[in-house]
Amino acid sequence: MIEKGKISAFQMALMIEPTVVATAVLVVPSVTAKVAGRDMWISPIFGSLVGFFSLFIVYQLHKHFPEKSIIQYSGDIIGRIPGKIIGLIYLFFLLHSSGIITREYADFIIAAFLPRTPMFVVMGGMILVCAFTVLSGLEVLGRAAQVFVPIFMSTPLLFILLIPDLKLENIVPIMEHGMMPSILGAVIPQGWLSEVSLISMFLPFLKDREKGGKWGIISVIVIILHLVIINIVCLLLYGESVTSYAFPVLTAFRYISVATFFEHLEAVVVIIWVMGAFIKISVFYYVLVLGTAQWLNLSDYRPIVFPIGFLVCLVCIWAAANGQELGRFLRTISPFYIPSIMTFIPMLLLLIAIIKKKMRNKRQPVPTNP
Amino acid sequence: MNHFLSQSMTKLFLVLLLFSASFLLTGCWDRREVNDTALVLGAAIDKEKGENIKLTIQVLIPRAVSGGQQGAGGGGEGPTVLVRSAIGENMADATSKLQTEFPRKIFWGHCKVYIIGTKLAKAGGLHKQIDFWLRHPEPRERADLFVSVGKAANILELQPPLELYVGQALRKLSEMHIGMSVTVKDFEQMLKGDTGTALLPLIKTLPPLTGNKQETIANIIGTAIFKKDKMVGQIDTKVTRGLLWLRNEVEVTAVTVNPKKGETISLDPIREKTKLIPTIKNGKWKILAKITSEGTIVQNGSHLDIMSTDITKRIEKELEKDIKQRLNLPLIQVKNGMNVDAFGFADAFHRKYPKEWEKVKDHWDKVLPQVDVKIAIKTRIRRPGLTTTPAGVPENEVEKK
Amino acid sequence: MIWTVFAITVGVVLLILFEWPKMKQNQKKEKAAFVTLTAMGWLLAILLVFFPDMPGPTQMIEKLFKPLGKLIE
Repeated sequence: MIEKGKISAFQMALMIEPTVVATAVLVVPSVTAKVAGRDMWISPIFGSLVGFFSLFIVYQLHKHFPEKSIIQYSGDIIGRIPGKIIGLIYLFFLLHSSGIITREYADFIIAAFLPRTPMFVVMGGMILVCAFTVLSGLEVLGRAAQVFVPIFMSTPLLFILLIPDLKLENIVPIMEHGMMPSILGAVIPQGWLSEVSLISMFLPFLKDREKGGKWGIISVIVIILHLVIINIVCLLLYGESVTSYAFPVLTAFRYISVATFFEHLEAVVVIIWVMGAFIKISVFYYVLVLGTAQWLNLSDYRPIVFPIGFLVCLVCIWAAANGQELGRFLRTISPFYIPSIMTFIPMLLLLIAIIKKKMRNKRQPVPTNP
Repeated sequence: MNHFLSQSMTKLFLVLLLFSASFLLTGCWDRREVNDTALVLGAAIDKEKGENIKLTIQVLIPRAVSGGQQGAGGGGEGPTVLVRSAIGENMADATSKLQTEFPRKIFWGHCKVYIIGTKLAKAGGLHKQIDFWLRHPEPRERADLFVSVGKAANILELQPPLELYVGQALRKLSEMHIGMSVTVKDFEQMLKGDTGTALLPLIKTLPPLTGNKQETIANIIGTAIFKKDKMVGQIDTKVTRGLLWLRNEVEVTAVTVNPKKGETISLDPIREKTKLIPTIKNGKWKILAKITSEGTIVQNGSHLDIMSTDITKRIEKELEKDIKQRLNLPLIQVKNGMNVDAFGFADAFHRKYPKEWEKVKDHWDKVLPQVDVKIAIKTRIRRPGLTTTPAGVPENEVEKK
Repeated sequence: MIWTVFAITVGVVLLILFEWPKMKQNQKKEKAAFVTLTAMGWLLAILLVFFPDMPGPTQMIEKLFKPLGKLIE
């Protein structure tokens, strides 16, 4: 196997949590509110169905091919050449989304904190750090997640300081226009939640494989809680005017003021958020590098880490001309784009694998039965 | 030996590399030194000729502040703030013009007070200026907004005797919840809300007591009422109190009743709670404002023995009557007079009757005058305070009943 | 512009100098993959310098998913 390191299922769950949440916290509240209005906090719960579904599919596939990743077993299921094509689509998606994610990170940092810093510095710095992580392998990435993610997940606790400014009555009437707005609003978070299916690349490297499914489910539940808490806080703070803000969560942290001197907390929060973004970018980057090495049947993935990092930087610049274009892409295209690769393709693979197995079972008894 | 040397050399090199990284980590493009920034502490905007605005900012003079703290007692060493203004098409334009007058870069991050002149408020289109405060990364969403009677710029020039600068004084006033306390975020939320009604505290320069004409502050004298970001009217402090009471935002107040002519009893309400209960029956829209308040007696200027339960009940009744009168003031002036929903009635209906609200939301202005408002008040006197009988009244003159 | 191209080229050369000695003699496939990916990166970088508005992967995906995207716009 290319990757010799082993991680625990718990570490995998920790890696997946920021992989979904890190960029979701930036845009999901305000975009969901545009569609779902006051019911925005219900939407992630509906969106979780897609998360659980992708998890289920990937885990079933993993049971069929316990030693292999999606790049490898796609060839086993539908033949070598179609499998390679699926793998290439998958890799293209990973490269493109790594670029987009890095761009989201860079855009956010530039818009809110470093307006004069050129983008290639913000993005290049991040990619360089991630490249060293990926170079050190899966175990290091798992350990980094173990250190950073608990801190990252604790940020919603800071919202306690915001309680004096929250207005509970903003939440009613619940489901004013029926269930539809909240279900339509779920279109946005479900796109992010389908990224859970990235665990298909980690499952073969687990020390405790039997716990993989359990920790996968726990991590989806934690993601939902994280998103619901954030959406509720945004709703209680801004009411329906949450759509006015590009980064409502950042503004919410800026709004914290305790006894007039304990304020300007956003710098601390953003440092913590960068940890989450670092894990997210590293996970995508690692999966991309490992997938490429598997696709090319290389014996080692280390040599291609830096060339691929270079490509990610270029795609990051190339991905969108400006923030508005990126925003439109995230709002309207990615809710369909991400699940189509992350959920739909594995689903097809699983269906074909099951049908093939049934056919084989049917055919096999025939010769043995005289 | 040689091997050892090369290893320690590598270590040395690594350490040097780490140190050199610290030069890169300062962030050269967005580096900002404290002694290169002009901290804006307050800003005022006024209407100018045409569509222009006049932006006045108050900037901290760091030297004056640090000197004042060291030299104890040497208060009047000179002003701690500097006031400058410029005329521009909007906030951003005026700021860039102001920048030419400062050798340091203007920094909005500490500006916690924005004052809007009445003329600009009445001209409407405030959303154009609000946008800058929400869009630009430096200004804070938590900054307080005020409307000033007369020119807003004049208020920034005052020298408050108790605080270092006007902004601080205004912020502290706002925190006491004497009048409305509205941040930029709240204002935007109000404008975007169901009715588009917004309320801002109205301030006016307090006449100075003696000597230096500038040595005074501005205080809150009422509330400016906005409809679709245009100021349509104003109410005074007394009406504002009633309004705050209806909005469940009242904090500091004292209620005084006159059991007899020339006699007073004052209650300091500790806890007040207002609940708006909307009902729609047979197409009639009704609001029941349920108010509970409890407190302590702080002054008894009558001959009544407030230890007696009968008298306590009587005073409670009197208090309820008094509060009711206060609450009627804003209802008459704002609801009937201006036909503005400053109380959150629309939100109350929206929450309880979403379907009915859907039908009237486009012509709420026509529905509002027909909404019937009833007030139900429950007052409790919890404690008589530290004295029992009225102070200085002989026992036999105290009225027990 | 020529300086950007020069800087990119220097960066790519440094990258090759950094990675090449690490690879073992018998890792032919890895070397091929490394060279191809680096060359792709260099070419794309140069293209992006001269045609920064070149339609990219995002535009492609956007065309592909536009009918669905209109549903929630």
